[in-house]
Formats: sequence, C-alpha cells, structure tokens
Amino acid sequence: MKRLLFLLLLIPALSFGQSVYTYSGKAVTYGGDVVISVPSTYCTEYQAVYDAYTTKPSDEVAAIDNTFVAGLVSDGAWAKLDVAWVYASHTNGAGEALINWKLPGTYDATAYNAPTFTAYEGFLGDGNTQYIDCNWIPSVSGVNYIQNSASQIIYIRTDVTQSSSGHGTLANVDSKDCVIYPRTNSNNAQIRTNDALWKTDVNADGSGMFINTRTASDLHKLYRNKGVIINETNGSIGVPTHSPYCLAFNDNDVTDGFRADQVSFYAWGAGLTQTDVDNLTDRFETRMDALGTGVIAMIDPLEQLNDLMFIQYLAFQQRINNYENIIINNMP
Amino acid sequence: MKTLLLIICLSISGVLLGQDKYIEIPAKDAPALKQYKINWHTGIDPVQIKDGTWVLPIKVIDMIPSDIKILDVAEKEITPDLREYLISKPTKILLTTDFKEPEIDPVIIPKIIR
Repeated sequence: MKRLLFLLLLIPALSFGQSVYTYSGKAVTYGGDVVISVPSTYCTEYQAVYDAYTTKPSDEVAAIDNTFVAGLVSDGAWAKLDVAWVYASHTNGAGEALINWKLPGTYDATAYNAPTFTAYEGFLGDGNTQYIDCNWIPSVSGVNYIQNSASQIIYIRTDVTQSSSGHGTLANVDSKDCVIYPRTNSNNAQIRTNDALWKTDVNADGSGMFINTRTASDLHKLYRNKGVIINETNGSIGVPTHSPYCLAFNDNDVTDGFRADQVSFYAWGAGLTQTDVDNLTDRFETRMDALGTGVIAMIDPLEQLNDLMFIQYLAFQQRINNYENIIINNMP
Repeated sequence: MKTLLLIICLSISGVLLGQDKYIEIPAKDAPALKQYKINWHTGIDPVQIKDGTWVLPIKVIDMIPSDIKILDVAEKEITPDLREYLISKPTKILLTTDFKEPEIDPVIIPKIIR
C-alpha cells in the first residue's frame, strides 16, 4: 500500500518531465524506465548569485529570479551589462540586496546612512543623506560600458517630484557625467550620458524602468517603460571617472542631489537597442509582478498572464521537487 | 489630556513637515567619517547642512555594532567605539529645507518642437 501511494505521488512529478528515485535501496521503475532523482538546477549566472547569498531565498523566489536571469541570458541583454544590483531582494541582513549579480563578490555596492530596505521592493532614500555607492568606476572597470556605447538602467517604484536630484555621477570637472533625473518639479526628465550637457523632455511620472543609453557618439536616449522620452544628438565626451551613486549623484566625490525614490534595480552596461530595452523592462517587470511589487502596467495583459502562469508553473515544479526530496529522505 | 493632544498634534505635524532626527558630528571628526564602512555593504557618511553642521540620520546607530574603532587621517584615535561615540553626540530635528541644495543647477534646454 505504501509503495502504491508513493508511486501515485510520483505521477505529477513525472508529468512535468522529472524522472526520479529509488525505494528501499531498489530502483523504482515506471513504465519500464528507471526512476532517478534530478535535483533542480539554476542557470550558471543565477547559481553564482544564489551561492553568494548568506540567507537563501525560498525556492519559489529563486525560481522567479532564475527565470529573470536565464531570460536575459537567452535574450542577449545579460551579456551587455557590466554590473547589476537587484535591490528588491528577499533580505538584506548580510548585504544580499547589494550583491552585484553580474559578478558576485566584485563591485558589490555599499549603502550609506541606512536607506530603508523593504524585501522585494528595494531601497528607499530619505532625500537628504542616504544613498548607495556602486563601488564601480566606469573608466577603470567598464568593459561593455564605453564612451559611445553606454547605458544606465534604473527601476523606480515611487513617483517622486524633486528638482536638482538624480541617480549617477554629475558635475565632474572632467565633464564626464552620466545621470538621470527621473522627474523634476517642472515635470521633466533630464539626462547626461557621457557628456556634460543637459537633455530634457516632458515626463510626468517618476516611476518605472528608466534606461539612459548612448548608442553612438552623437545619439543618446532616455526610455521610460520601453517608450522613448528623450532622443538627442549631443556629442559624447568620455566615460565617467567617478563611481556612480544611486539615490543621489556623485559630484566629484562629494555626495549631492539626494532623491527620495525607492529603487528596485540598478545596472550599467553597453548601449542598448529597442529590443534590449524591451527585454530588460519586460523581464524585470515580470519578476516584480510575480513577487507582487511591480509598478508598470503591462501593455498586453495576455502576455503578462502567460509570463505569470509560466513562473507559477516553475515555482510549482520546484515545490513538487522539494516534496519528493522530503519523501525520499524520510524513506525507511 | 490637553498635553497629550498637543503632543499628538505636534508629532503629526512633524511627520507631515518631513522632520527627522539627526546626530551632530563635530566638524573636526567629519573627514575621518567620510564614507566610513561598518562592513562591506554598510557605511556612514556625514552630510553638511546649510548652517555648516555635519549630521548623520539617527537610525544609523541601529546598524552599528560595538567595538568599531575610528581613527582620523593622522591615525589618531577618535573613538574606540563608534556606536558609543555617536550615542554621546547631541541630536537635532531637521527639516528638508535645512539641507543644502545641490550646487549644480540644471540648465533647461527647451526642446524645439518640430
């Protein structure tokens, strides 16, 4: 009877393509095949992040994050990033939310003056003293990020109206600035992208995925939620020689322009195409939606539903795996 | 009862005005505390406000363990215990307006509508 029950438990697992197990030292067969245990695996890129965590996320969250990273790897966008921090992590007890996902242990960020961390949401600045230093200097450590192919990517959950404040590095004596002002008091967004000239256009919402990207010496754009809101031809000057900040900007190694935004994701890399921008935005939004903290209204609800169902499916698969492992481990 | 109501009203108005409590750092110590790391992912960095005072948000005390020593640029000990040092300093309540504006003012270049 026990064996029958055990085989019945295996059916859902097998229907998901997993073949499993031995029982009482003998190989269990199903339909003539030997049933073996296959532990769930993550893509190499996410496995490195997972291994770096002191406190591991739940299997469901890990499956969601693995889907996010594996998706970007297959899109080709992952390879274009130099550094990426998912602040909207499961915990920050041991700095988990400040790990550089591109190369854990290198260019991990530092939060100064205790910005407020909320699980699955990210870091909230006070607009006066709190910020995060990337500990990464583009001119020294940029590989994909170069003078005429460069991107600054930030996902903001809050819609804050605040002038003279932004994320990045600004007002440097060498004129090599890169910064985003998401929304000023006059309802504009402003950028500099490896130059020292402001480019401005109308933006009345400071939340969402902002991507400041330069794809040529005379072409740079600011995207918000996949749409272009600034499209300019200002010439580039050079790669920033100061570590960019988040929730403030690095003004020649003086912290300035603090913002009271809540930021979930921050990354820097090569210049991005519209396809890259779409992929990054969709993949991260899908992740955030799966965790219940996304802020972008997806244009295609059916597409979003498909993504969410896929993630749910992966999480379900993970859970079944865990139950099976528990059963196997507790077998006499 | 009146006192209680007054306290509640003042607290609510304080929250609405964006007041917060800060630790005052002596100017002579501020350089040694610039981007001072407690560990690889956490640090403190005093900010100078309009009246010249250097401050830190009071909540940083919660994240600092004991026995963190601070030396000044000349390797002279400022304190054997950063946490105790910060607790011993005076505090003040500040408004957002007490903080300096960034020195850079964005030059708005109007976009030509074609």
